[in-house]
Amino acid sequence: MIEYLRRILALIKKEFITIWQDPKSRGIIIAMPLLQLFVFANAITMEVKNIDTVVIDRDNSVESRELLSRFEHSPRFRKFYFADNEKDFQGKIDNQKVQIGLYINNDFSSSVKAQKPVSVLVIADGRQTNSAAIAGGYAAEIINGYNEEITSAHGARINPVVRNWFNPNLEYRWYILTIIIAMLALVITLLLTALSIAREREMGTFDQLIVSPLSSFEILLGKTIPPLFIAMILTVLMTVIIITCFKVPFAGSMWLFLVSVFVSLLSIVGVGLFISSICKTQQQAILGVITFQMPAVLLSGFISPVEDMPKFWQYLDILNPVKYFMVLTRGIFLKGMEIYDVITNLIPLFLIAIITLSLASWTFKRKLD
Amino acid sequence: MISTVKIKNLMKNFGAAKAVDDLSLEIEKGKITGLIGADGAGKTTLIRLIIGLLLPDSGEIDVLGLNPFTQKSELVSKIGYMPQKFGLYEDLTVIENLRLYADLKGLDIPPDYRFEKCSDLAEESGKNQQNHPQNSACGALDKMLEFTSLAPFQDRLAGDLSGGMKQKLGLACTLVGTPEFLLLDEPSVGVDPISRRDLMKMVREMISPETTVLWSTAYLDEAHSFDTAVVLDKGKVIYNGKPHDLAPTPEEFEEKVIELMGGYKKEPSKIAQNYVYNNEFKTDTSSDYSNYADEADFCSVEADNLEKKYGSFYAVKDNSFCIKRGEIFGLLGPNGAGKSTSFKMMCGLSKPTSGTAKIMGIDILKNPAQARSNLGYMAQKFSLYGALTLRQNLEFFAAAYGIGLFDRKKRVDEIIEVFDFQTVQNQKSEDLPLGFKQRLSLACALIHNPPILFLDEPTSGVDVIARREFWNHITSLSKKGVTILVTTHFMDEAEFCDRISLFYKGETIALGTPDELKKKAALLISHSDQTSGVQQSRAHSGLPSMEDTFITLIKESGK
Amino acid sequence: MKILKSLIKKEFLQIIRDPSSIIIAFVLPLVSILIYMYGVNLDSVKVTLGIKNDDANPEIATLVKSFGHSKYVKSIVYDNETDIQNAIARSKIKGAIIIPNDFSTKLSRAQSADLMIITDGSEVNTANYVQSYSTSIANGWLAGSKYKTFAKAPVITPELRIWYNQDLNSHYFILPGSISITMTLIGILLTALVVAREWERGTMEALLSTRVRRIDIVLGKYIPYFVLGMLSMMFNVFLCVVIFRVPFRGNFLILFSVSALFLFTLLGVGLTISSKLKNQFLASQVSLGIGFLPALLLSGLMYPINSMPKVFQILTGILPPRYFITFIESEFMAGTVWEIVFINAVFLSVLGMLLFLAVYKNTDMRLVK
Repeated sequence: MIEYLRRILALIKKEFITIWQDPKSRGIIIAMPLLQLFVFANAITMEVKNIDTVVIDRDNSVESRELLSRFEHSPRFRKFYFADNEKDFQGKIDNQKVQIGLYINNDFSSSVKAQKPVSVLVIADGRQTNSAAIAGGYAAEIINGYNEEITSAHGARINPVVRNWFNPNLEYRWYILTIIIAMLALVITLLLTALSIAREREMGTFDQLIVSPLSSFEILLGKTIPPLFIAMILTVLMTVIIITCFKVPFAGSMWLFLVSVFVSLLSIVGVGLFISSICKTQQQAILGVITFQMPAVLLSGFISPVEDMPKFWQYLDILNPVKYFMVLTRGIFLKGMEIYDVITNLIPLFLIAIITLSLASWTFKRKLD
Repeated sequence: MISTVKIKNLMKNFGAAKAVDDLSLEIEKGKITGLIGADGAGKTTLIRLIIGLLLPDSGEIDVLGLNPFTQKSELVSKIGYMPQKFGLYEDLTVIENLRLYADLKGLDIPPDYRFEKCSDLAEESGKNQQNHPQNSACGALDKMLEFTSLAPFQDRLAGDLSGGMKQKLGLACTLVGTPEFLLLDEPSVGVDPISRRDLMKMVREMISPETTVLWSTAYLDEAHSFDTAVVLDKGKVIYNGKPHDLAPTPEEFEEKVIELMGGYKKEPSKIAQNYVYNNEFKTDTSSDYSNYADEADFCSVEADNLEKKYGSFYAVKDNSFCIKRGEIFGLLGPNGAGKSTSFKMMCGLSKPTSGTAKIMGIDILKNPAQARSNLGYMAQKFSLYGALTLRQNLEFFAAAYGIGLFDRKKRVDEIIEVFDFQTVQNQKSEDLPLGFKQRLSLACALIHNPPILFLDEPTSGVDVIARREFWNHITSLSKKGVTILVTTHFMDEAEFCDRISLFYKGETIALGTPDELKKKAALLISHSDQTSGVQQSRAHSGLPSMEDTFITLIKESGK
Repeated sequence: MKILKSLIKKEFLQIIRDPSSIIIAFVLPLVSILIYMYGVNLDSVKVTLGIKNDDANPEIATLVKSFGHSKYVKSIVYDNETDIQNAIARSKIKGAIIIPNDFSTKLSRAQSADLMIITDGSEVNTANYVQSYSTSIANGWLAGSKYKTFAKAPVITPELRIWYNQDLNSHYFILPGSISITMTLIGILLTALVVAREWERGTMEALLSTRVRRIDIVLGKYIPYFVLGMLSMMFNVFLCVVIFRVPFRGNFLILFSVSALFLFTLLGVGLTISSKLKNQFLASQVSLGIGFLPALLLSGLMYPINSMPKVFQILTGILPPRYFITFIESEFMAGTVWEIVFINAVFLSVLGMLLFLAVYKNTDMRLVK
């Protein structure tokens, strides 16, 4: 038993030195995720700000100017261009000089005075469908607000009172950071594992390992633990940064979180080592990584919910460790997920880890020929 | 005398290390100059400086009247250079590699050039018009393919060729375009004697008399046959002259060169002295081997009808041998004969199609961990962890072979002392000179005092002194009871073996002591003498040299 | 010229011999488009909501029913709030509606009636959908209920129009946008190792001792992968336009011309990494680290660049996909808008030229060690 541990420890030490020894490689592994975390945290927002607008005000009345001043006072709207004709108006939108167009017809003030229904045309640039819908929504909100002001009597209406649990102000940063943690951990882990076997094969050191009394299980452990350890440290570091620097409240149990990160990383290590074990060259290995990474991220549920996908993708997604990983980081971080739900997500991750790691270890042996 | 290369006071440092130290040298036009020296003497650096691949720190170089520093682009069109890794694209076929280099050298050949096609063209043009420029280039390639006997393999990927054929292809790629100056950096490393002779013949016959050749080599018999020999040591020229002036025979030449390089004094091997043969080695206790009273019957290493088939092709066929304790057993044979495959099957790197391999009576496939703990393995090319320091490599392998923490430190210290590694123990092993790397590989293989050593071309590319030292250790170890399985292409090394198995086309064609094999060859030679009446040169003993034995037996079997 | 030609030919042969690059050039687009087409859905997310009705008035039961009839909502009726809390915590439902007991009374008095909407704020996107679906279902119900007589029609209503994408089909913008992400991966990964490989295998040393010029080496790498990349690009467009019927309003000649510039820039990124590092392992790490996430998250496809802080807006300027996304969305959805074509083409050319210079400079004609 002691002999066994000793051998594995030696393998682990060797991996660490190999990963850590090259300052360039070290820099990439530490600096790259932290830098990306910092950039993503500050740059990504779902809020649409700095909206530029082109306006045609055919009415040019007190009322229409009053409406426009509501826009001018909104912090979301930035520049206003007043167009003289439709051609100019359309040109500004075509050229993406503006994101929103407002068109007020010449019957605006007369209708308002007569309390007769009148509409204001809001045009959004559908080429950026996401932000167009949001910006259009803001504009509608301002117009509705103005309508409230000028309407004398209110009738029966529904007043939605919204309570957002776990994230009262619906801060997008809270959401995206708990996801980015998982994505960056994914990238680091794949970086550390996917090339490791392919590289030893290219250099001939893998033969040397096989000829030693080390069993393929021991070799596998030696390849699993160091990346797992490094990725774990970095993930914890990123978590600390997110809690302290970016002030995202941590709602759940830290122990559950650490266990979940550990198991998730283990399953990704498994996938990485499996890719590495079937590739002959490093070129094949990185292409293999991308073919896994891209679908895994896109189908993880962060862009659109998994339950909303066609059945086929949903079935395929059962094998996607990133999906569970994100549910866990977000769930524990923001919702304080309970142990029962954590375990239901950990079981598939465990299975993925076991399957991929055994496949990798089996491939070591098979590759002897 | 017309000189192709004139070098004056050349200096080149890598960091603190002096690779080329105030070197002055002239290389004569139209001659073959051999470049000899220990590892790290600066041979490769000098060649790279001559063709302008490296920039000198100071000094002057003039090559074919050009300055490689400023006129590299003009210079390269006049030279042919074969680097150590010979620059072949392994994922391209033979013909594609050749076409690529022909194009790069500015030869005018049709883009769809193939061997048969061109000879057809040549025949036609032979009838119609003589010396069509296209066809002359074409003809040169034809001649090259024919000469290297690569023509039948023209559509094979370069990566799938055997070592000797790769080398021939590399040389062919260098020779196309008839360069005025040919620079070959150890072209014969890892090549069997037959291919080595072919390479030499290729160079001598494919070049014009005006061509200058600079040939760096570790084979001193090869160097002895050249017009000039330049011996480098620590970046300086320590001999420059005719090899025959130094010594009349290759054997004496070797001694002289060794003397020049600082001399080699055979000392009792500290490594062997340090070695402890452990009588408690784990043999298969379950079998009745442990009951063998007479150790003489016990096979330390045993191959029993080993076979390896790829489809219907036998890479190794019906291979059986038994190596006794303390025996040095050599696997010899041309490149691609199946010795590497046999070797790999013996250490469990490759699964045999049928048959068994046993180490100390333990089946390597059934009980790999136990079998391998008896084994020290040294791979063909340096395959230790380059990122780890020398000491860390030793510590890693010590632990991998299950040496405990406290014993480990002691053992590693011991090994470092025995191997004289004290000064370099904290250097990254990828930065070590080749000689050190090779000794480190041996040290790692010996770290657990194994009763059995497997050495796969352990001295490829290693200089002559290091080779002698190495073999001193090996023979001394065998005297202490270590069983050794070795492959090599150096025929002088084969003489150290107690028994040799000669491989050809996957089968053992001869098995016996070196003298038994020589006698067998002698019989064949005298037989052919009688029939053909040709006189063959003989060594004084009346027996042919090991190299002649090798070639004779292979050729006989090929008939 | 002849030298360049044979170098290009050599590179093509290598591409053919190791089909992993060809696979990546054609399989990656296919996988990615299938994912974006079927796995990613940004406009009509289906959500499960909990409903608790405290108002006994039978008319209000029809409101509960109309939640059940909406095609975007699946509703589950709950009796108490604890169950709702648990269900949200376990992600069984994405939000809940609570109808207060005075809901009908207020409406019949022509007053504003509160409707409580609870969302799971840990999934910000979904929370937004929950809000807007619930509000619009409730308003739709009001307009058809017996309380409509107490309601007063607003005077000013916003009339929202989304140009270029009237149906608000998010696939029309996300599929062309995805091309630019896929091409970024392909362009960088194809070339990131090809120079490093030649250094490691020693073929570069042999090349440098022939009459090959620096420009031959550089173009010898650019041209083959450019051709492969363009074929991959065309395949992408073919899938988008012909197979998945995304409307294309622009001009194919312009589309492919700007695509060529884009590809030129991307190959520059890969080749710079490769020729600078001369080491496959490091080159793989860098390109895996920077290849995917920044292109996905910062290029403007998912998140509006306009809303980022100024520094980060400028920072996105070094990302080639940023320009291409703007261009390709516009070319697909609005047809050729010269100003947009021109600006983005200029930026891509400048980036491409700078990278080309970097590649040229980093292509060593001598050994360093």
